[in-house]
Amino acid sequence: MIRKFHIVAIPIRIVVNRFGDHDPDGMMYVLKENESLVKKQVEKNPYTPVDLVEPLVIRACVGDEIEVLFENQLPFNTGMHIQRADYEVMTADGAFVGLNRDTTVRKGEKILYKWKVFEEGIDFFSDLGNPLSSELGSNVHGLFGALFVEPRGSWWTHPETGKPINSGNFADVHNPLLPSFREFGWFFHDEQEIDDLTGQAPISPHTLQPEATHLINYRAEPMRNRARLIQEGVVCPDCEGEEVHHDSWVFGDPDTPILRAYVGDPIKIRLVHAGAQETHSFHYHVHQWLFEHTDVDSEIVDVQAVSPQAHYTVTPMYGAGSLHGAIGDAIIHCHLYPHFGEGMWGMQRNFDTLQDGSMCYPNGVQIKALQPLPDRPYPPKPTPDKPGFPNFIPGIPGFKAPRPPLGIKYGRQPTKIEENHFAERPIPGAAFVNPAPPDAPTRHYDIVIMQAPLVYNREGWHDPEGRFYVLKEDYEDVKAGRKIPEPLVIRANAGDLITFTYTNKLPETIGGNAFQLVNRTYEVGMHVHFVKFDVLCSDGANVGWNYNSGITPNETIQYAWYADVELKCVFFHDHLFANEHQQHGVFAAINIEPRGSKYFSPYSYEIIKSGTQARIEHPIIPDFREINLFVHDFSLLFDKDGNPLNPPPFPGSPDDPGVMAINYRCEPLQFRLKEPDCDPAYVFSSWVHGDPCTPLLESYNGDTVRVRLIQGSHEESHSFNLHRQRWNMERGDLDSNLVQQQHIAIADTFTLEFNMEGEGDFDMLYHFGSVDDIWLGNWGIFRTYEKKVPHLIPLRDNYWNPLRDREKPLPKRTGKKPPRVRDGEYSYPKDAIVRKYDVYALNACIEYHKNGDHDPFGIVYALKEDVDEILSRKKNPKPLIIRGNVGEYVEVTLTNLLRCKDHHEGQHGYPEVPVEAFFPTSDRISMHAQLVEYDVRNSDGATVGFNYDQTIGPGECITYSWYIDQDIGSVNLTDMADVRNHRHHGAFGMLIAEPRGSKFLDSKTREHTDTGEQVIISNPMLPEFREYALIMHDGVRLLDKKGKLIIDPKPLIFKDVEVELEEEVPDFEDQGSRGFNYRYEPFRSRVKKFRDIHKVFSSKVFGDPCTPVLLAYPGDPITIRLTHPADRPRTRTFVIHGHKFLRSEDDLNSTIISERPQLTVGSSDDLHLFYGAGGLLSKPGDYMYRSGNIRWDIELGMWGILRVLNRRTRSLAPLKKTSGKVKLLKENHSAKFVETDEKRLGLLLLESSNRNQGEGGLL
Amino acid sequence: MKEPILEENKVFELLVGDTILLVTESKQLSILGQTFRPIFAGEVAEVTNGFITLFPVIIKMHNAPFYKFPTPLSFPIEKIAVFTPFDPNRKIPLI
Amino acid sequence: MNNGLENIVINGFGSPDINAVREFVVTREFRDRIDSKALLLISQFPFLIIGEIQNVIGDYLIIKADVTNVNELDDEIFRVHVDTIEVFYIETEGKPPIPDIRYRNDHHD
Repeated sequence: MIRKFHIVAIPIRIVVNRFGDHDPDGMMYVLKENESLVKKQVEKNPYTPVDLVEPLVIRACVGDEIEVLFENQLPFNTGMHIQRADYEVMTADGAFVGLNRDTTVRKGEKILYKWKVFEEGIDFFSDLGNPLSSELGSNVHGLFGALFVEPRGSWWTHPETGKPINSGNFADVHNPLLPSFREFGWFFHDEQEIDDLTGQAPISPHTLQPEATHLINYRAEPMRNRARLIQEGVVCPDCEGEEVHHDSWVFGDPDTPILRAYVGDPIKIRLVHAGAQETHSFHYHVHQWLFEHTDVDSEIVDVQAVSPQAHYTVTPMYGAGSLHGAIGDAIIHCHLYPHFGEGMWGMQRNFDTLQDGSMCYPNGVQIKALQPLPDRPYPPKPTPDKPGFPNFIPGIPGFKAPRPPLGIKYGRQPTKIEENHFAERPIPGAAFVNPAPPDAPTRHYDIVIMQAPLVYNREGWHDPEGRFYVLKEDYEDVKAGRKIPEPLVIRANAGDLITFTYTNKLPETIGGNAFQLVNRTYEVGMHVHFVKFDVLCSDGANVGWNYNSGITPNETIQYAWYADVELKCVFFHDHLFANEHQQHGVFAAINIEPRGSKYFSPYSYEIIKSGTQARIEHPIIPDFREINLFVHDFSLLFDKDGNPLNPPPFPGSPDDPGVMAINYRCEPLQFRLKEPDCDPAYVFSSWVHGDPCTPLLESYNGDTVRVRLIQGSHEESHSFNLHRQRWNMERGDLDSNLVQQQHIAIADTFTLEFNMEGEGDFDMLYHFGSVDDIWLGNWGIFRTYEKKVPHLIPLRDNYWNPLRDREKPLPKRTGKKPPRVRDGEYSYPKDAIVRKYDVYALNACIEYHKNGDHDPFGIVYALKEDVDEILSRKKNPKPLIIRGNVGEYVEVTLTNLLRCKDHHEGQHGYPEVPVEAFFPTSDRISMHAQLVEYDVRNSDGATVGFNYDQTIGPGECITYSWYIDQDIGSVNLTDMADVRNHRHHGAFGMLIAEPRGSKFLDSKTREHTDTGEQVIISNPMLPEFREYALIMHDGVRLLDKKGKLIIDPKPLIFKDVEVELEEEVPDFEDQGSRGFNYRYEPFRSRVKKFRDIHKVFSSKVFGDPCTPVLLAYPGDPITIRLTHPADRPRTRTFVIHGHKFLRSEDDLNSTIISERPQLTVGSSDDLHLFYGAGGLLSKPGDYMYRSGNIRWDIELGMWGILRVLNRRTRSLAPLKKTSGKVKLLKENHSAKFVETDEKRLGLLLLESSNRNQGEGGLL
Repeated sequence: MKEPILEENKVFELLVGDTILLVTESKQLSILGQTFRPIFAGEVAEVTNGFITLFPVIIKMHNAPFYKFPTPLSFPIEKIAVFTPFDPNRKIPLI
Repeated sequence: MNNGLENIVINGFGSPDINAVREFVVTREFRDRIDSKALLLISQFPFLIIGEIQNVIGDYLIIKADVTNVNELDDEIFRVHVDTIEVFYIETEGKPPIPDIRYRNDHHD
């Protein structure tokens, strides 16, 4: 069916909370029918939020056509660009790209867009008429929305009235064949400039400095406003702030979204990142869901990282309240604590009694009606004895929430009305719902939270106020310094009821230094993820109308958790003063193991109760080694002399203070230079420096390993990389991508399961790949042994094949450079295909833009035939792209022609890293490849641990040998000789694994080629396809044609409009220029006047961009090989217009998307575009590919064009026709009109049109 | 004409009127794009020598484990992997 | 055609092959209900078929689809291998009808 909408883009004052925080220059999409109403309401209520002011959500069903009459009332061109839906790029792209016509419109004008939708889920739309990152842009002011696509035959009603609705973030969606569900749009967005009532930047009452605002659905409930009420004595004057930030007893409900349901109601949260810059971490208490809602094999998650313009459907398992039916408030928030504190939270409220509008919350505010879903049991009516949540909780409005009954030692007795709401078998910590069955085995832990100094490395970097969880039995030893603390990891088996006593031994305050002002932290909890618990008693938090399940100093509380199934590593942490002290170490994990597991020390036969490393024995499944790695940032450390490391601009500032670490340890590169050479090539070498102080992971070859990866604090994205070993991205789903890298945001957890492959003793580097991370010491060694070592107990499964005794002793630190590797003598099986590449590492000037922006200190890998032309500047280098087929060996012989030249004398400067130090440029080079199989002892391309040297000096050469054992797709190639000085200058490339038997053809001549970013892949068993290799990279240091240093990012300035620009030093992670394949196309090189901004992508106006223009004919099959080898921690999204692909390319049940989220250092992916060039409609035109990050990326040049050509040109050879038309034997008898007799005969006779048309057919 | 239930199918006949949990062979099924493991619970309404019919019947979708399907559902016996007498209101993990 | 079970394959032990019997009975059920509306779930594409039973040939069911998971395949006449059908319902008088989802949402233009 056709659905028609008239949508208007309007300027609107957006008030984000009842404290009057607002964006006076807000912008939104609204249905025409609501336009005058919303304007009138905003005029009448200038200081309070207006319900109709929300991101526009419209709905349609799978299969529908949508016609949007779009009208612009903003003073610049705007449009609506939609992701994932099918549309004609010439008429409905909502942008002005390449040679297309302009489908944005001027103020007062209208345009008709037509879309067609085929998949259930989220089709995000936003403006591309004004994609500026600054205050001048439209996206940061709210010009975005979404089309939610429902199953066929669905309809939707208002949750309060039950009446049909045409738009709105929340709806109840119904379908005759499917359960009704509650649908909630949840738009994270950031970088919106919010003023307070005085029109100034809001001031934090704690730091007295201006503060940012982070939002959901144009709303924010930051702590600053609520804290002021405490300071003024309006509410609970004895409180501090953060511990009651989410407490509705004190402040009433927040203005951010409250997603209301009855226990058990099915829910779909449509999570959209509509913001500009940050990657957020969506966390929803009590509930879990499948990573891919379309795939029942998918991994369970309860945190979802989401980068700009990405989106996920969150379908909580078992509906509202999860399996156990927990009533109460489950907070939903961005887990990045500064964002959380600055307003990015709301909650999901689960009622157990009918709400028809006649009841009130304890503070007298009406509980609005909530229509029960028609196919669900009718909730019981509230009675005086059983009023239901929240009205049985004995709190007092204006004061902190009361504590739960039963749990607190020496606490109060429950009231009669509380008892009426108790579960059948109430226990301490699970009074209102007891998730555990009566016969569940119980496992008990006594846990204490304490403070003690933590020393992070041998150079004396330390946290004087380290805070962490310990087992009660270890408390005295840790306090006395007899036991060195590590993040607490405990274990339980699936099916266990886990009970705790938890005691608060923390001091009542923290801070009073360069990092933090003195702050009270008198209350603390233990909030857990994944397991089942009573949110009212064991949330370890203080949320909404729930009880406060935190404790004050020296108090003890009892919690109860139930592990219903095997889970990965389950995160727990504080929720009362998390923003103040989680970065000091308050994070821990409980690993939920398979039933029947026993936990042993890796180093003895002792059963252990805690520890980050363990040997898990199991009678049925293979024993495994378990390793918990916590990455953390905002670590507020001082050096050995007491100087703060990377202090913020003022104490309490959330602007990326401190350093980073793994399990309270870091090994900064600056301390691993050895005089006299101080060569960065040996920073990872244990020969020179000994092993780093970060966790040393050990195994025997062939061991089963599960790495439990988790981020403990606080605000940054990280990217875990491991050399050589690979795992399925979703552990339980063997169809999921095989990877060697994992993006992680705070509270994310992953299990990386693999079998330790390789021969001999060897060391592998694990590292968090961004330059900031590695520089600050987020790397370590994974060591594996072929022969027995006395200290490491073998896994039992190895008893069948006993380890041989060691003849030679293990290597020790010599203080000297490592021995040179023996390479080049590789032996291959008979008949093996070995593809050889002769590669040279060169210093070369790379011209990023035709206007002369260049990197004179570029470091590139080049094939031999290009070396002369590059060195004589006849050829502008492109990243090395090489290919091999599955089943082939690839031999790369690398020769070092570097001339040791750089722009600095030992200290790099812009683009900077935190805690800069002397670090000269190495003249050595290497090449490390991801995902391929190889012998780490000679082909790892990194000099790690006690491995031999695999880097080479000037004039030397080395040969690496890799085997492509399966379809691993695109692979990052990077230098590992000097991560700080080489990578961001271009020392990377791409290897692509192609299907067996493929030939690689030049896209113009169809002649054989080894390299190139656009080629044709021809295979006798498969359709020919076009392959585009796109490398996203950042942290680039460029000079303009006059030789002046270009400092990125900086907002764009125009001649024809004035704008107040923030004088803000960009975060480290944003520093540097960026682009695709050594090219960029910044706006500043195109648009001079603000009124022309909508033309910025137009080739008609400004010519084609310098970034790759990818060419295809309509319908050509396309695979995009996408990698991200360098350099900063800033995470981004890759977006392509008018095309879509599977999230996991080999998993047909995975979701269909048109944006690839969370790209960061080490990411690699293969996007097989549905339906080929031009999408389903095979339409010629220019399709933009780009970053999804409005703030900085697009403006700084991270965009390009996929050009689907209308006519054949000489610059692009056609693909061999491998598809033909199929015709009925009898003309004019299509399947749908076959006569009855024939129909009943049951067969259609088909034949190929081969004979008629001379093309390939089906036969 | 009602056929006698063969000896081999008696195991089903005994259950008429009882409620069972029933799982079929495939990895997952899909209704209009909503995927789910093929886990069902309901009352055995009819047994033949080839299929059994549950009504009322719940499809235990992971996001809506008590979704009552609007029509009866029949299951070819050859496609049934496991079944067990079961209280359809019981909560069980589905992963 | 004989609709009874007597002619079903007899296995080597002289008793009917129970697997063949069961498959036969399902196939027969569809044959007996030609012209009725049926709902089928199969684990293969297109997963859901709702439509009118037109015929059964051998162990293939001929069904004219009203609705499938894929709009483009509505109105197709599918030949479904009966042995792949995992779940089905044939509309029966006195029992709930199969909802028609094709025109449910007209008031939302």
